[in-house]
Amino acid sequence: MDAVLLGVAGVVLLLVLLLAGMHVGMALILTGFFGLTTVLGPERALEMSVSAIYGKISGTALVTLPLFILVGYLASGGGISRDIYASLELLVGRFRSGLGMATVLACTAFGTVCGSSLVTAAVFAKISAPEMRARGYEKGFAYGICAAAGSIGMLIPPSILAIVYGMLSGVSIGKLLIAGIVPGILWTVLFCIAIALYPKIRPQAIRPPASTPPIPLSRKLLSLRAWWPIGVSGGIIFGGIYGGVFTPTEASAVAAFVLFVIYLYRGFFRGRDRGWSERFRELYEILNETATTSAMIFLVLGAATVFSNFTVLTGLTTRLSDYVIGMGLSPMSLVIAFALVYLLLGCFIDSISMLSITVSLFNPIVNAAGIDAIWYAVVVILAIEVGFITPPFGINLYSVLGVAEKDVEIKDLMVGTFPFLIAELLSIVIILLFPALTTYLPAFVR
Amino acid sequence: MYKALRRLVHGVEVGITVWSWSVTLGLTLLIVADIFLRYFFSRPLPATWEIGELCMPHVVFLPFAFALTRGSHVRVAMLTRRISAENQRRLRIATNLLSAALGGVLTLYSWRYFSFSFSIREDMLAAVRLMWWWGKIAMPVGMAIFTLRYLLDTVDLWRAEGAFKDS
Repeated sequence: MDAVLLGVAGVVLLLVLLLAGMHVGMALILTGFFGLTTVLGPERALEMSVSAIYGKISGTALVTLPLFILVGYLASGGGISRDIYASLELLVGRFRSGLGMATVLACTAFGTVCGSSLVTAAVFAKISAPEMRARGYEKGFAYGICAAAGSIGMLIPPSILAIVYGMLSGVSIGKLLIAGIVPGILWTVLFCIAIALYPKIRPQAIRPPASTPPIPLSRKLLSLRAWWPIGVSGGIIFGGIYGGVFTPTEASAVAAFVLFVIYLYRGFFRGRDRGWSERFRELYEILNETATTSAMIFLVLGAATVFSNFTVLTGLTTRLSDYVIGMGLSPMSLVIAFALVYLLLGCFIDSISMLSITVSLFNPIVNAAGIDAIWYAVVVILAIEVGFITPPFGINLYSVLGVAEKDVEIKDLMVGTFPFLIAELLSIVIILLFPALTTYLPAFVR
Repeated sequence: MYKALRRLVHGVEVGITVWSWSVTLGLTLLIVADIFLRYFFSRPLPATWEIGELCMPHVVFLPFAFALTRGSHVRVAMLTRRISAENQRRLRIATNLLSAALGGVLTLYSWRYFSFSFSIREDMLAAVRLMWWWGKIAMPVGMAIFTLRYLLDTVDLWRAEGAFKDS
């Protein structure tokens, strides 16, 4: 059968299975298996599928993923997020937009220990949004800040999305992690600007605060003590990878070990307000969450390998690549086109599934066009992250809604995240115009 | 009988998940110890990476079923949530059966993959003797329980005719 026809049939089958509600991982394996069967026969296709799944996800380098997921859950369970927020509230909370900015800054800081936007958004929706509402923030805006700022955790290393992208594409995970630093800071700055400007356009978004007594400088400085776990973890991850001391895998293991010790010290042994059974239950839940979240990602990753083998062996990737290159588009046009595809897909498919389906199709084209792999990866990750707050599949919106107060509805969140959606799209334009923002730091990774 | 089977499968999936995260913690300690010994005593642990390679399948495959029970595996709900509860149930039964069939076949072939390695006593090129099958056994075990979980969920959906409200 002709490669293009087979490829189209495969993509149609995949879409049908996905729309029918089959789990993404199983749909990818089934489609890949049928495609491989047409080329190799069923026996060989099955053997190849099993060895591809096993081979892809049994490498030691992939241990980074469950370990960084564990780091995130330990950090949220150990009260680190609560302490950072309390410190930032003292430092900048007196200003009209101060609490919102404190939330964004806290999400950025928390991003150095947690690589999941979902966890970051949910944690701060619980901690900071009720406080913001009590200080005159509109409910949609208060929770919208948390939903949007949660995504910063997915940019600042350790970023689960960057790791998954690296695994699928073969781009250096260490470089990808470091490449996320500048876009993460860019988002932080743009979000703070959005929080400062939005009440000028829509005054009811934040009511003027009642006058509060000034906080002594000594108290503000003392609150900085809460930042030590962030300093330690950030030092291990940034310093370790950037300084060439650790590989990303080693950095993840050391960070997980240190965070585990911090968790035991702060959340487990010192949590005297809770009984032992409750503390054990929390730890047990953290470990189970780590195992099941990792399993979900690994199933999709392994399945993507089978699907990728199908697209490569049938020649679909080469044909598609030749066709797109033959169109004579400039590298910039190609990156913009792919970014638009990801923005659109982000409205319907979750981030990891999206990468698993598209990387094997798009990346050969990107490589053939000579586009910088790190720059392209960052643009893709940013485009995907925009999808975290766009309906109907804005996963951060639902994550925040799940922990929000009863009177908050999804439409409040959509309105509340709108200023940040503009900021995110603006950041993509900035990164597209200035690729050096993403390529400068990774060039120093040894 | 069916309830007892469900309880048994649930017990097994929880047990192998606990084993999976215990392996994750053990692997963390192993890597940290290796780094510590390498930097401070110039004596790294032998075969750390090879042991890691044997541990990873246990970390990866064993919690598949428990993740299914907890609803962690991702699916696209764009179309299914717009149709009636009864049609959702039917579609879920169909996709579950397809997944169970696929899972069954993968279990069989991963078992063959493991048993071949076991039969020839395939070992790794490492500083200490390590057998490949220690890692390869995790895939058929994980896939078998995963398949069983799909089948049990299908039976539950089949029995829930008219009562299915999940979207």
